[in-house]
Amino acid sequence: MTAVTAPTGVRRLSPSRHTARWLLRQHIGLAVWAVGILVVLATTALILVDRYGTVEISIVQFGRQGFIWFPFSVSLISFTAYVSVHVAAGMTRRSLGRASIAAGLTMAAFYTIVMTGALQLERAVYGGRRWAQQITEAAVFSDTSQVGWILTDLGLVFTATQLCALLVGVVYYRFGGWWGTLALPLTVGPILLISPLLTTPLLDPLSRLARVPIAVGVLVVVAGVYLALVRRVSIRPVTA
Amino acid sequence: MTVGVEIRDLVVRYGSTTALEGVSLTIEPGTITGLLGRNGSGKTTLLSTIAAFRRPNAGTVLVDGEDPWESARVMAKTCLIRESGDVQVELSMKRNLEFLEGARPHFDRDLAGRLMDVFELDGKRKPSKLSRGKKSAFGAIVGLASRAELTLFDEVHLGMDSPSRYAFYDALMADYVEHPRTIILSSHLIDEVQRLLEKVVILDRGGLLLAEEAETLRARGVSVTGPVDAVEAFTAGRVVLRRQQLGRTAQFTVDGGLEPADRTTAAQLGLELGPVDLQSLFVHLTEREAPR
Repeated sequence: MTAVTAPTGVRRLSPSRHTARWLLRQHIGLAVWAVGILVVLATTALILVDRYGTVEISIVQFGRQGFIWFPFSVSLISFTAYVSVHVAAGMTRRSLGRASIAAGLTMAAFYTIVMTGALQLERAVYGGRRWAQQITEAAVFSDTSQVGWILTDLGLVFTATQLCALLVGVVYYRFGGWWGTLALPLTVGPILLISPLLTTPLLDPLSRLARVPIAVGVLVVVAGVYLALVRRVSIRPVTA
Repeated sequence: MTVGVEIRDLVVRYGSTTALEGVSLTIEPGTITGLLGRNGSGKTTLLSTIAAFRRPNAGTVLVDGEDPWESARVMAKTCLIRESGDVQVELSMKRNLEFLEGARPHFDRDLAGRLMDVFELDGKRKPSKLSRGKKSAFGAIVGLASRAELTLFDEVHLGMDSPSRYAFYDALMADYVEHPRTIILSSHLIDEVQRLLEKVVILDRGGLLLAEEAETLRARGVSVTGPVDAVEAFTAGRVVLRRQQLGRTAQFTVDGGLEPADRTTAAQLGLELGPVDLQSLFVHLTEREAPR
């Protein structure tokens, strides 16, 4: 007869690390698809524009919107599907909160690096063909030579995407469809707010650089609200 | 080491609906307890509260001496399998088991593999593509292979065919003997599970109806059969759970054990005394007045 608490000899990760690793595995699988789609679409669009018109603007820049809303959907859906699995597997909501934020930040960094790299690759191609690489997206950077601002803009926006997806997910899960929908301006708002926050003349004479901590502060608040909500979430009854 | 559960004055509400009201209960460590009750009696709510799926509105729940809510130590020792289990339905069962192996401190992958064979489940398939019975079987596998010190099965047999249900009961007993732990089994199939149970808890309308040793409970109900007058005279002053009459013969189900003197009196009156199985006793105890 063996007690169930007998050591198994298996070295296990902490719940937070196990969860973060598990979530990342799923997110990265989908992110690879997203990057593949960006490559195919951007290349195809570039060939078509070059053939039937004049290349004057960056094609890759439009991937910014795709890299906002696709990961947003992935994180939102995976949170709402995973929360009951996590608690049922004997892990605390606290560990889910930490792990999902860690996974979200990692994915934000991944998308930032991929997007920045794609813009720089496009810059090199455009430079070789003497095409104009104009940026028309409402972003902090206006030229692809501003690598620092590209990283700042994308980093902040993609981080907001990940955190807001978790916040939207937990609000829908905890409070249901009506409240989840009514709260959308607050829960999704930070994604739309981040870039204008850095560029709006309303905050003049604050420099762009001085506004970065304000944007980071907004994201910290979003993360804090998410963590507070997730720690008190009740697991929903099973529905047939 | 196994864990016990202490519940005091528990109240759980869903909005304006009270699911549990003033429930106090002790689950001894290392026992198999049957949690019985009619639909809507509060069984699932009770198990969900013990497993920290939800917080009580009032009262206390202590698992291994500690409030389970957000307790990493207690939650790691507790496993609640709700119906078909809380698993990642769009991932293969193999990947689900891989996830659980990393999450559950005592997860036995070999046992899970053997049970997958017993229940004829293909690890490559996704739970979302399984029939209700197969989903339930996978939930049962997760609950058994997790080897949590406190394992709670909530209607885990739903949709399983008879051979699968008996395979589950056999696997449960075999693993319980090898690895003793505290198990709470909620089920409507009382006839099937009663042989497994050491203790029985019956909930009714959100309250605790009784919590007793299964043997004591089995000895508690007695059926008295004979002429109407004799049966009525013998059962006068006793708690009669059910009265059935056919012509001049009556059968009353009486709650409460009989003394040897009572048995002698019954024999003198020409009455037949018989046992009442757990299922019948449960039905009688939770019976509602038919609407007139």
